[in-house]
Amino acid sequence: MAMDMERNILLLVWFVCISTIYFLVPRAKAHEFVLCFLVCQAVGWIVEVLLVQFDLVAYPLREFPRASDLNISFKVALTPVASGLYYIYRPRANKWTKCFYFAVWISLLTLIDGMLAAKTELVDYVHFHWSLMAILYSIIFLSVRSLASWFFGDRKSFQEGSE
Amino acid sequence: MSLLLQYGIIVSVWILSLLLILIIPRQKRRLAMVAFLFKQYITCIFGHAVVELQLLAYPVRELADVSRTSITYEYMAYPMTCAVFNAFYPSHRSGWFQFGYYVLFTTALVICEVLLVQYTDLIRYVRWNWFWSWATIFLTFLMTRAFCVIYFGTMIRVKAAK
Repeated sequence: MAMDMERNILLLVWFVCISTIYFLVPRAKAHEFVLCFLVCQAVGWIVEVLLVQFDLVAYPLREFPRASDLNISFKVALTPVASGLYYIYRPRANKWTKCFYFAVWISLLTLIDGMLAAKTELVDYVHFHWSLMAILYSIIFLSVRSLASWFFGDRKSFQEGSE
Repeated sequence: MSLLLQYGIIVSVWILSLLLILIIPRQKRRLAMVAFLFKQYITCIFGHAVVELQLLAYPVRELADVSRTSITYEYMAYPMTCAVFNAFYPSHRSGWFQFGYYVLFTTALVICEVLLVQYTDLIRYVRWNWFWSWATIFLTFLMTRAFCVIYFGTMIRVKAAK
């Protein structure tokens, strides 16, 4: 019975992610979104592997229990979509707005992760604290942003890089 | 083959893959990056699925507790090959030449894999054979190429429209 709730949550994650991509990503921003999405899964993979390797976090209920101890949905759907949305809707106004916007996203993700850890079997903090998760999310988001800025920064080299 | 030697193979694959960054031309770095990341995304899902269905096994692997899949192959070696593949893609040559380019890369990877199956415990075919590897590798190369062409093709149109 309890297991059903976790499976529903995983399904909900995929549902929310796919509908978010469909409805909230404008065509003109699609390239930025896709790049952030892909960078985030690459960085998130390393982070997740290290977390599990050093016994900090465990994912007792996961999609491929025989294949790995990692949770695939969070790594390939939830965090990448969040970082993509963060990047395409980021404000360019002043420093404080940017800081606030960043903090809101990190808090939201940390809250989701913390709730999942507290209430469900999906995430289990073994030797861990939610504040460390917030730091990790910040590292992921900052690396996504800096790589994306580099990628889209120099417009001229773009034409050569393409077909 | 001794365990130490097999770990040596894993380490040398990492070093070799990282060295491959150096041969990617400067102006193709963005293309290579998109190809690398997209391939990583596909192999992450497919790689987990084939191990879950027990079609393949990786008896000797890095971070054995975390994952029964090969992180070296899925995270680094294969995406990096694909990045090189896309960076040097002969897009202005004839269709047959391009097809040959696909076959060349696919066959080279499959030969490496078959050698590893034969002589080491790094990978073991459970319910699998080399042709399945060949076909899936070919198709994922094709998918990544198609993704890159669409990604960079539409990017220029979006910019031209502005």
